Amino acid sequence: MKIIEILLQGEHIPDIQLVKVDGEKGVKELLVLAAKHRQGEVEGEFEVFIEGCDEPLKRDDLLPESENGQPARVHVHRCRKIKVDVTFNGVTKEHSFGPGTTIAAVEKWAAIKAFGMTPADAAEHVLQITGKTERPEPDTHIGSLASCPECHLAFDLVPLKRVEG
Amino acid sequence: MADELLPPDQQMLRLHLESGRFRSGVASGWWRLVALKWPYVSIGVTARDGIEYSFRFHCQDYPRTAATAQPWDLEADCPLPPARWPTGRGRVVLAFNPGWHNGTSLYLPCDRDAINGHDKWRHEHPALLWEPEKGLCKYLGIILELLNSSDYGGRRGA
Repeated sequence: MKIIEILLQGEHIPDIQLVKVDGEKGVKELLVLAAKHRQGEVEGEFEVFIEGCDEPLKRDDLLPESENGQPARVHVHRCRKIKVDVTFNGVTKEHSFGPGTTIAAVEKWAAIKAFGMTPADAAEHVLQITGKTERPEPDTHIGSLASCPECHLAFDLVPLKRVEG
Repeated sequence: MADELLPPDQQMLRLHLESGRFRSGVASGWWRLVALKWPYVSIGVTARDGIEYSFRFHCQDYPRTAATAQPWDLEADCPLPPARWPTGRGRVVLAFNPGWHNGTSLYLPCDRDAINGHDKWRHEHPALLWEPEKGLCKYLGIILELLNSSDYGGRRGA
């Protein structure tokens, strides 16, 4: 039996979980494992996504191999897409992403593609959850911040401030 | 000594170093565990120019009490000389200031020593405060962001 490590994120799963699974097992087994990490009773049909991929794996697919000795990154969610609103200087742009999309990828889309910043300016801005002070880490999957059936998130793109005084 | 016989602060530090959040940072090439010698843990963080800066965190009463971090010379096992500290145009040079607190702490709201006497930071920079449930990963994420920002400009003495 070949044991593989997976960095698991998902709906109602707190933070990033490091899980170990039989590498010959597939999506069905990972869904069972993910349910054990989920907080609370949640009903519905969950899908497994590879990080950054919009299409879910099929039920009979095997789990992804780890690359360069590092764990594969996987997401489990009921939403096929998450609608994301990003507001900057009073203007809101929206786009839909797969739930296994990272905050870093959404931030790049927002700053550079949606609001036309240079990469240098983009690196001085960060996504902050609208109405909160929380700024999710760049490797956080957006699906771990959203629930079904809303499948929606709203962020502000805010400049990074100096710490002084 | 088995983990269950360790005091709670040491147990929690070990748990966080084995967590998915910490491993995700390692897998991304952002940081790596260098040494753990209680109450210190040394962790290397990679900047956008490929330089790895090491930080020695003092973790007494972890994670209830915030850690404090000092740039560290791993080879000489001593504080990093000021000329080898990171520098930048604004945010970075303020955070990594060898002239503040004798260079024993970073000037950041998440740092145990720096937050003392800076209560206004609690409402000015809420996103940069220490969070016990995230612990070192929160502090490392803030260092990582600074070292990979546009503001970062390499080593002071370069």
